[in-house]
This record gives sequence, structure tokens and C-alpha cells, in this order.
Amino acid sequence: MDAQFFAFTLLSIIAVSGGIILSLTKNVVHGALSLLTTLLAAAGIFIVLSAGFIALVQILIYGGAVTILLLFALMLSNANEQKEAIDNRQKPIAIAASIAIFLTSTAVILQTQWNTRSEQGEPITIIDLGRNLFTDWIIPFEIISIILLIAMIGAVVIAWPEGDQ
Amino acid sequence: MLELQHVLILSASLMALGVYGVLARRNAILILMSIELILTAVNLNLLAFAYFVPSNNLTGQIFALFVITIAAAEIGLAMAIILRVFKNRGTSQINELNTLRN
Repeated sequence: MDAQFFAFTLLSIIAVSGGIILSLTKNVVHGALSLLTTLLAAAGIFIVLSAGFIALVQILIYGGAVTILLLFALMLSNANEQKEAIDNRQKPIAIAASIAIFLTSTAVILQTQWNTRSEQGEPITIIDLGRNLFTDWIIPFEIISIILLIAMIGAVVIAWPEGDQ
Repeated sequence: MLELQHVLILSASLMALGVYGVLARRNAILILMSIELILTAVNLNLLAFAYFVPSNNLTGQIFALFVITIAAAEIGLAMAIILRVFKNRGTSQINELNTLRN
């Protein structure tokens, strides 16, 4: 077992156990913290897959921004007070659907002949990524910045206090 | 030796857990967290293919970057909507938000 596979196994155990805790817990704050665990373990797996910049963005946005936002929303909406009614009636269907998705995709993954490469190529650096982003991908990049701006304005407008123009 | 299949199976299990959360939970914020789990599984798939499939373009990594950006925009907007619904209706349980039914 080489170091890459060992790191991947460790991080994927952490990620899956975080996801299981998120799916089963009765306490929504524990759910948010286990989601943070899963996202940070996923960032580690991104590093294993030699995508260092994406891992940094993942830690910055998910670990820094999204989890804090989720915790604030949980605090402001008293989400921890309805502990007994946390799951709805379609729970058996949900269990069946998720097991079906997992088994079907695992079967497909294991049966397909993947055309993977045998030796490692050149690692992708941040310089390559930035140059590519600002030449070939400049239009999607600009569109995504407009989407972010619109989402920000929309969030401010929706969350604005009523009657206070 | 790490193979493409290992990463894809991890991604499938995270996806299944996220789908379970979206379908089974009642709290809107927990549903959003499960959606984040699904998007992370998608990113894992994109980066795994970018790493293992023979090509020298960066499309996988750049697409993962776009997915993270869209997820951030989505979560900000969804939080604003959930807090507004909570202020108006006093709940964030989705089964009590049925005013469009009658």
C-alpha cells in the first residue's frame, strides 16, 4: 500500500463517517459540524488528486464561509427545538432511493473499462490554471462573477427588514 | 495503488448519503447541507477524471472551481430565503410550508 492510497483511505473514511453522522443525527448543529468534517476531508482528497488550488478554495469557501453561514442560519431559525420531527414520513423511500443509487453507480463503475493513464503526467500548477481561466474560459468566468454579484444583491434584498427602505 | 474506481465509489457513497438527506429530512437547512454533500461528490468526480484520464487540458479542475462558486452563490441566496420564510411563518420545517396546496 503506497502513501497516496493510504492517505486516500484515511480521508475517505473520515468523509463517509461525516456524511453518515450528517444523515443520522438528531442535532442540527452536530450535522453542520460533521458536514464541515466531510468537506475538509474532501479537500484533503483533492490534494491527493494533485488539485491543490481547488483544495485551498474548498477550505476557504466551505470551511470558512458556508459552514459559518449555516451555523448562523441554524442559530437564527431555532432549528434545534424540533428534535423529534426531524425526519419526514418518506424515510423508507429515501433509504431505498439512496441504496439504489449507490448500488447502481457502484455496479456501473466496476463494470466499465476506464481508459485511464498508466503513468503520472505533469502536475497542474496554479499558473496553468490561472492562464487557462483567463484565456479559454474567460466568458464563463465573467458570467459566473455576474451570477455571484446577482446572488449577493438578491440575498441582501430578500433578507432586508420589512418596512425599512 | 490508487485507481479511478476507488474515488468514484467514494463519490457515489457521498452522493447516496446526500440524496438520503434531501429526501428524508424536514428541516430546510439540513436539506441544504445534504445538497452541499452532493455537490462535493460531483467535485470529487470531476477532479478524479481530471487526474486519471489521459489529457493535458485543465477542464476538470476549472469546472470544479465553477461548481464551488455556484454552490457558494446558491447557499447565500437559500439562507436569505430560509431566514425570510422563518421570519414570516415562524418555521423552517418544509412540510409546514404548504400554502400553495389549497
